[in-house]
Amino acid sequence: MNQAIHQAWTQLTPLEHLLVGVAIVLFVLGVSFIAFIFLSRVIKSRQEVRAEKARNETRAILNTLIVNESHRQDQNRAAAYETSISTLATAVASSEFKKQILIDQLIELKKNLTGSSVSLLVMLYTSIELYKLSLRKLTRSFWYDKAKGIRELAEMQYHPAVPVIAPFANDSNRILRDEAILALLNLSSNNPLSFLDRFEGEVSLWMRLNLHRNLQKLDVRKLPEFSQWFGHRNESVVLFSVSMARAFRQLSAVPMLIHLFSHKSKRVIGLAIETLGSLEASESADAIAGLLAVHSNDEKITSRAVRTLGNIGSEKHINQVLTVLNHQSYKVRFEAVRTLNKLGVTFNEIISKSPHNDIERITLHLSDPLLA
Amino acid sequence: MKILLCDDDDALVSMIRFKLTRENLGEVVKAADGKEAKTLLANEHFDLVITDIHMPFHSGLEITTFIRNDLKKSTPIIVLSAEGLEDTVLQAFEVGANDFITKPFSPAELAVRVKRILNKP
Repeated sequence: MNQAIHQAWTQLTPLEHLLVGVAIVLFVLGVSFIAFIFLSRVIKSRQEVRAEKARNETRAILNTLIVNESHRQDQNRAAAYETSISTLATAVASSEFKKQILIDQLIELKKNLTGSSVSLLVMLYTSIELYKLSLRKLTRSFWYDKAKGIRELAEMQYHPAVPVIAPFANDSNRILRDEAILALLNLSSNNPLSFLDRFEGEVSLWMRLNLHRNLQKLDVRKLPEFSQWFGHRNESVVLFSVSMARAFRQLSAVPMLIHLFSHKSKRVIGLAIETLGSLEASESADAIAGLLAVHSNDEKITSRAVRTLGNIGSEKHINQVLTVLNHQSYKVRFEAVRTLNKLGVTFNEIISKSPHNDIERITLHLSDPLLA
Repeated sequence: MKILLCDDDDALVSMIRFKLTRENLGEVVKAADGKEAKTLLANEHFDLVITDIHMPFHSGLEITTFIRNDLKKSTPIIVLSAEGLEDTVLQAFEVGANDFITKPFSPAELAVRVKRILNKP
């Protein structure tokens, strides 16, 4: 048999040798791949069984603790309560896997429960020293392990982790950075945005939304003065701070917003103007009108300034707005007509002050109640 | 008393079941999704239904509509939801829910509400 195979092999051309070789390699690879999938499934299903067993084991104790929480003051039950905690600690002590299952359960329950049960879950996380496992994840190589660790520490309100999480706020990985920032926001009790002091990355739109959502949950009295970051060297931090000062209507930021008119970034100047308008800071109208002469070549700044003057300006700003009525940008001309009308100038007077053909069309547009 | 608890969150179901059983409020039967809940409702009698809004196959609102319109039953229904939006709450009451609890909630509060609905002391 072997001889026949050998004979057949020697009769093959080099190309056929190659093809047979490739076929054998592919066959071996295929078989290995199937074996790998099979083994993975076996391991996965074993892990699931193990996880379910661990879940059931800890769930029963957790339920007892949560349900008895409201009776903790009762002396008879206090001893049983303490025993349950030590039983839970013993049940997970031997295995990191079981500790992880318990952390996941605590987080899941904390999302759904409120009242004294939440304090209990947080207390369990600390007293069973589950935070040590979460902290260990922060030293691992993969970013998703670190992010998971940070999320666990934040969800379980482990405040001592703030100094360990803080450096991740400047991490090059955007997801990890966002996770760290949100954690710091949840965990820092004094100034939840103190990480901004040394923040070097970009405050992305996603991050801005998340920060805003979390800040909304805070007690207004605990909100920091956003103007403290108006002088930050990172432009995105300045833009974020200005938008938050606007969102939370921090009128104390008005003088600093006017100061931002000398900022090197036009985006910052534009946002500062709009914010002053939103805050109805009429005391800033003179400064905004003054920008029309300085930034007359900039369409965005000029149109924003003119529009804001329409909301917070007065008759004394009419002459300054008239200087941009014949601006090369249609957008600026449009805003100028609208603002002049808001400041008390009639459409006929506006038309008479400009040789531009489209001023009349703009007045028609603005006088149409369905369009204006 | 027999209570049907429809929620796909195992940890929460286990905790609620434990709490209600501990309070002697009756036997708690679990349905992990809307389909299972409908099957159970069609074949068994329940004195109370506690259902989450967001579930696979059929939502809690669909389950409520099914009980009221298809089964024509007046079984008390408590709807649980993570969103306490006015629209959602109104919609739940509109389709026939008796009570609405927003997540996160206190297990003790749930037990009190269940007792009140079942007229238990």
